[in-house]
Amino acid sequence: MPDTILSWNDLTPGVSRHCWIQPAAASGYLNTWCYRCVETAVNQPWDRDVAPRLLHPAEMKVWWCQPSDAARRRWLRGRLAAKDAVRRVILKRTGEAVAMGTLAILPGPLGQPRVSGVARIPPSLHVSVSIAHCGALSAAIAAIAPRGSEIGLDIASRTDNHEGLAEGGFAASEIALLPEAPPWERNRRLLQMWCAKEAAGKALGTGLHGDPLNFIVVKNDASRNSILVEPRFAMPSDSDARLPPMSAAVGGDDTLVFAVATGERLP
Amino acid sequence: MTRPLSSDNKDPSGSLETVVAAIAQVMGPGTPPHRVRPTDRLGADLAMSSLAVVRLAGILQKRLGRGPLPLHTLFVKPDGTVLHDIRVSDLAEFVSLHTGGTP
Repeated sequence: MPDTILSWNDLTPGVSRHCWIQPAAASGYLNTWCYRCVETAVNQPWDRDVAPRLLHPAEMKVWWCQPSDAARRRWLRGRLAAKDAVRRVILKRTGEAVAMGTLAILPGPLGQPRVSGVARIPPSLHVSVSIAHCGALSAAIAAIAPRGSEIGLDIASRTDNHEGLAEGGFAASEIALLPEAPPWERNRRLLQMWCAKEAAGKALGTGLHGDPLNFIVVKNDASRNSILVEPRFAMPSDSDARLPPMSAAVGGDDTLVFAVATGERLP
Repeated sequence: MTRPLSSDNKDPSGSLETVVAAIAQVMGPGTPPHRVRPTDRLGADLAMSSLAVVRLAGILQKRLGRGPLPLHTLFVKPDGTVLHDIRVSDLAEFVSLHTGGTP
């Protein structure tokens, strides 16, 4: 097998792929792996060499239909990180080293990634995967989860300008949860709250459903690196149903913040 | 490709110019205003993330000196269907309508 786990970076000139421990450890699932894929040859067509070798034929079609060269590279970055995470999860669970091109991680009905081509997983379980992008970096987290349960990941850069985020993305009640702290610390907490909303939406399979106020942060527990998010939108199928609050684990380093949420995928 | 913003008199309310300036502010030096076209889609053509779109909403609120803009009404149709992308011109029209101008 030419693309075994141990030789991966040799196969993808133009990007660097590495395991990212923090989000996986925070997820709450036992068998969870997270990977990052960083573009090192920025604005270079590295994807044209890599995609045909490592994508499933069905993925090739989606990759090719992306609206621009930059979008194709971004999409492929995300898929590489997702394949790394999914392969690692399967290796840990079954001992099987699945070839890159055998796995198909394709967009579901609302764009959420869905894994196929995985044998030897009991019917009651599935491999849940979530992909996030930030600048030249993509990250993906994968977990063996009960069927119907999903994992959601979001990331954001601490070094970018985030002017307008507080006004455009949050209710006054959410901003009130931010501590009195220096600007860099408030900005970090604000980004974590944003990532928590996005991660919760990914875990439900709905995304933000068109409005960031569909997910309201109701608790920001810095001591436990945990943020509680309440979905507040009605599903067309059952307008009276209230969705339960979702907990997101948050963390990060000097350059990035992340949030990982788990939830029951909505039909 | 460059495009004059108001000289063709198709933006009497100035909404398009306001939206384009706000998009350029969000996207940074790599996307100057003259590179933004009314037909561009925020996601597919301008590569704006959801975070960038939310920042855009916040910056527009500040530029227009008003409270929250119900930007979500652009993305969610009355039947509940969620649109994943909109055009710059859609946003300009929305801003015009919500600031009392004429689209």
